[in-house]
Amino acid sequence: VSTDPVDDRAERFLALYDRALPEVYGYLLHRCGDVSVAEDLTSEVFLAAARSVRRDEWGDLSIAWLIAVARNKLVDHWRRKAREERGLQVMATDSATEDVTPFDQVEEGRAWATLRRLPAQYRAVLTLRYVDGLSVPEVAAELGRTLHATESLLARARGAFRRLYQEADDD
Amino acid sequence: MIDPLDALHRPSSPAEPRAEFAARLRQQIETELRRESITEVRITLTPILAVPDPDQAIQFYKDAFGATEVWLERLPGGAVYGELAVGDAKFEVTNEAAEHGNLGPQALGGTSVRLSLICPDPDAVAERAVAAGARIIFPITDQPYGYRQGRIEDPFGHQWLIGRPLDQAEQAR
Repeated sequence: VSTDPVDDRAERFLALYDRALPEVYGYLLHRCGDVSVAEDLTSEVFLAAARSVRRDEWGDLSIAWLIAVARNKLVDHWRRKAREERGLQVMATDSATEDVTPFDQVEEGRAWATLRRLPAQYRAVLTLRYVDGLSVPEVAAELGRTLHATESLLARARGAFRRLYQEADDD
Repeated sequence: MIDPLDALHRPSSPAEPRAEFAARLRQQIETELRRESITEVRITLTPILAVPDPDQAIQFYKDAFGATEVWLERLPGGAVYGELAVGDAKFEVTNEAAEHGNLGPQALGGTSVRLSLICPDPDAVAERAVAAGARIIFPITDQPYGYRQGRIEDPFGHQWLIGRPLDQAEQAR
């Protein structure tokens, strides 16, 4: 057993990494649907955590904490995507081209396929509310929006989801 | 019928990443954990010179002092940021920014900071600087305070002391 406090910290964090990796990576992969994005965000999560461990700020470092960091990274990712989409004036159904990496680790339900075709902003709010099961105030906090703005975004996102889901049925 | 939105609920969804990815990230984490703490960063102080035309100024400092470009960044608005090095001595050059009060000596009609460059052969450096367009304020001479030193003004109004300490034999003369 190591007595060096630095080594000890490193060992503990690496043990957490081994346990938490499938949870964090799986959380991100299921939600973004893109292997390379999921890998990039997973790296960001663990390297940020490693930096806080190095600064001796363990805090309540746990799988739940890492998932919360992953959720922030995912929201940032969707925010960047939403900005790009606004720049390109992408139509709702065109955003499916984002996911270029084959995504065969996850079974493709129709609801999931529909979710992936929505613009980033709608995807973000529906994922937090329905996939993660957060309350509306929690979703608002994650997105940095007011409760009112979040409710109205949710309503529009649900509408877009239902229309697209229905279209898939009609095809 | 179950609401398709409710069918999405999946709080936990573990997945195995690619083995190469998992191994590479583990290595990056180990490196990160063993990096030196931020408090061990060496303290440095770097002057940032405001000039009307950074590209022209950078060329002058290369010609005059044999400066090398450490990095150069062109910002979206057209501003240029460059870091130059003369030996181990570093300084940066960038555009004037009146909105932040960053004006060059010519715009100010004077300069509040002089730059003191210590180098092995101040005579040669001053000569080269003058050839590149600098103006002599005081020629390089042995000074009573133990330095061989002079002062020049570069084409942008920044003043440079150029000198080196006198050795004991020189001081005894």
